[in-house]
Amino acid sequence: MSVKFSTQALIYPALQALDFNTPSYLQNQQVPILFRDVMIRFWLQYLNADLSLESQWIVNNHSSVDFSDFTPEMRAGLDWTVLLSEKYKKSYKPVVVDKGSKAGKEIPGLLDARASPLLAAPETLAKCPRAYIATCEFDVLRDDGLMYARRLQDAGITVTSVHYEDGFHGCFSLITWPFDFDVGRRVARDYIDWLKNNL
Amino acid sequence: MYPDVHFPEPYLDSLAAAKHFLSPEILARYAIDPERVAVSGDSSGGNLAAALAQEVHTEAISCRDVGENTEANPEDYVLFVFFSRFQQMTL
Repeated sequence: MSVKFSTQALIYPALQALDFNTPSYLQNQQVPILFRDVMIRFWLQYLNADLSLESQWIVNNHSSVDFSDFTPEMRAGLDWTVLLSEKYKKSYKPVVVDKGSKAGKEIPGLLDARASPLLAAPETLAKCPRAYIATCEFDVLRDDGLMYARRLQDAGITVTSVHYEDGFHGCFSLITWPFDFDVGRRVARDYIDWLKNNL
Repeated sequence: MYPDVHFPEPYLDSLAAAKHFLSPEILARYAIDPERVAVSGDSSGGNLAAALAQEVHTEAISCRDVGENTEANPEDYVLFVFFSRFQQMTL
């Protein structure tokens, strides 16, 4: 007998490092606490890539069409033009570079689903536990979470996707004086309530 | 922490912790209901939690029977949280 997780609860998760031009990355690039360039730097650090690549990654040169290791199947896993609803897409246009700098080629973790869970195939997602996913409007990572919720649902997994229109990245941790935000308290309360009812 | 530690170490550390936690010995020792273990995290912790859920649910973890030993109260649940944010990993 093997014991697995009954549920997964993800609070504004970071789930991909291939597209830094999702609507939420663009809309919230200057929104504190998590600025777009800071998030890109975190990914470069996590994947042990040269920090000078930031200027390449910010324009998606690391995931250009001629980077053939990044397959159409993988691309579909984080294609926000398909996975996001109109409400979130707004009038944003995808940034797809035909011939890139190959700025991702020498970075082993870049196309690894263990680093970017949105790269996982539908068959993998179909085996995952049911999920609670919280996303915030004022967060570059909003679309990572929304896309993952959609992909899990498409794979047949039960997902509770909760979006906070007044939420921002980090609010879940800012619930004690002097930085106690009402929305942070709501995120925390809803999370605990869901666990009480679903775990 | 960065620059000494980077992917895949945090992921592998988390996976090792998860496997340890889900082992029959640990479940029994702490009277954990094996039906009520969640994986969770925020921000980069959410990254690790999602990655672990994919891994744990697609591989066959070899476990011996855990049925007979637990005295878990059905009202109890265990929350297995990784609060490892990118800030902690990288700054």
